[in-house]
Amino acid sequence: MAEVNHEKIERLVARARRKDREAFSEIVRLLMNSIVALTYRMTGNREVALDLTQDTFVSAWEYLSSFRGEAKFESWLYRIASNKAINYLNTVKPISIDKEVDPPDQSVATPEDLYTRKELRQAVLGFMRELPLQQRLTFELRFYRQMSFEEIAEMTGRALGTVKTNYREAVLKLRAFATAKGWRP
Amino acid sequence: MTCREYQEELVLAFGQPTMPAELAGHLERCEECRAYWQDLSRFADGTGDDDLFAPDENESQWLMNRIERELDRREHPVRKTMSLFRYAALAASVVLAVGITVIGIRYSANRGQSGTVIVADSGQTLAPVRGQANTADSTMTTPSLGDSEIRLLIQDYTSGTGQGIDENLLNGLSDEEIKYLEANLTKGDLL
Repeated sequence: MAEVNHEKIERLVARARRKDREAFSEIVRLLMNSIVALTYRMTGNREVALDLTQDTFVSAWEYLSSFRGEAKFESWLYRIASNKAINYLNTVKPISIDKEVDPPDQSVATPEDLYTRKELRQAVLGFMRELPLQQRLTFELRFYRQMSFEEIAEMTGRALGTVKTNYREAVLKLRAFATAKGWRP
Repeated sequence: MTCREYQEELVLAFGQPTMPAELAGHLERCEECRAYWQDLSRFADGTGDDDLFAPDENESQWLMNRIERELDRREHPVRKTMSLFRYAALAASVVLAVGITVIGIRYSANRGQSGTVIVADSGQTLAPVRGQANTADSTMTTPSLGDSEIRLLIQDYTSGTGQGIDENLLNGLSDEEIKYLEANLTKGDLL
């Protein structure tokens, strides 16, 4: 997972709050991939994910003055992106998972690698789709975003115990899903 | 804690870079839980990361540009400027509206001034009568009235209790003129 320098983000956020567009553009560059990944895994649709990513950053820019710095900026951004993804999923049913129309992946060297990565991506999207929305969100925030259960509880407005239960069930479903599909990572 | 409870805690530690010391200590001592953790960890290793779902370089740039454009649009909303053609059309509309209004006013004023002039038998001009274009036209359209009806009209007007049907015709006449009409006006004079 690509590490983002948190202190650098904080400095950029301080500048962006003074309406420094260059600083905000740098934030977009640093965090764009994680927002695309989050919205892609949540919705299962790449085009939707790109739209939601744009909406997320536009909202962040417009409401940056309301970010008080009590939580990490990344968490605040994930909250915006998650809300947008959930709003989308609540209005558009059922979700349609991409049929792998992604552009060629330039980060892999051989067709075999490409095939493997595509398969893995489809497997993960298929698994995420199986999860109820709250479990999907909890798994996304905990496993991929490495947030603490306390942060997730605060962000989602759920009890700490509920968040832990959601994550536990999601992990056990991942294990069962992977075993049933012959997906042995 | 039992092994079952430890395993529930291990599930919560799934995918995290660090593990609570108590859990790590138990794993060193318990082969069953260690096997459980190793099996679970394989799924974490193969579930991919953000790079697996991130846009490639070209797509990133495209998305970046899209976001920048949208931010520009929000910051500087484009004011639509009117083209020369629109200005010309607007000016023509204004001129046309003003022209029609002026012509209408002047036409109304002319109609008021060119009312029929009633001429008494003696040739004396009495008063303009509004609403009739000319004597010839009125001859064609005015309904026939008998002497008694004309007298009733005049009485109606002079008594102040009139029904209003004749007021426009007799507006502006002096008492002397009214008396004259009462005494001398006939159906033929009116027509």
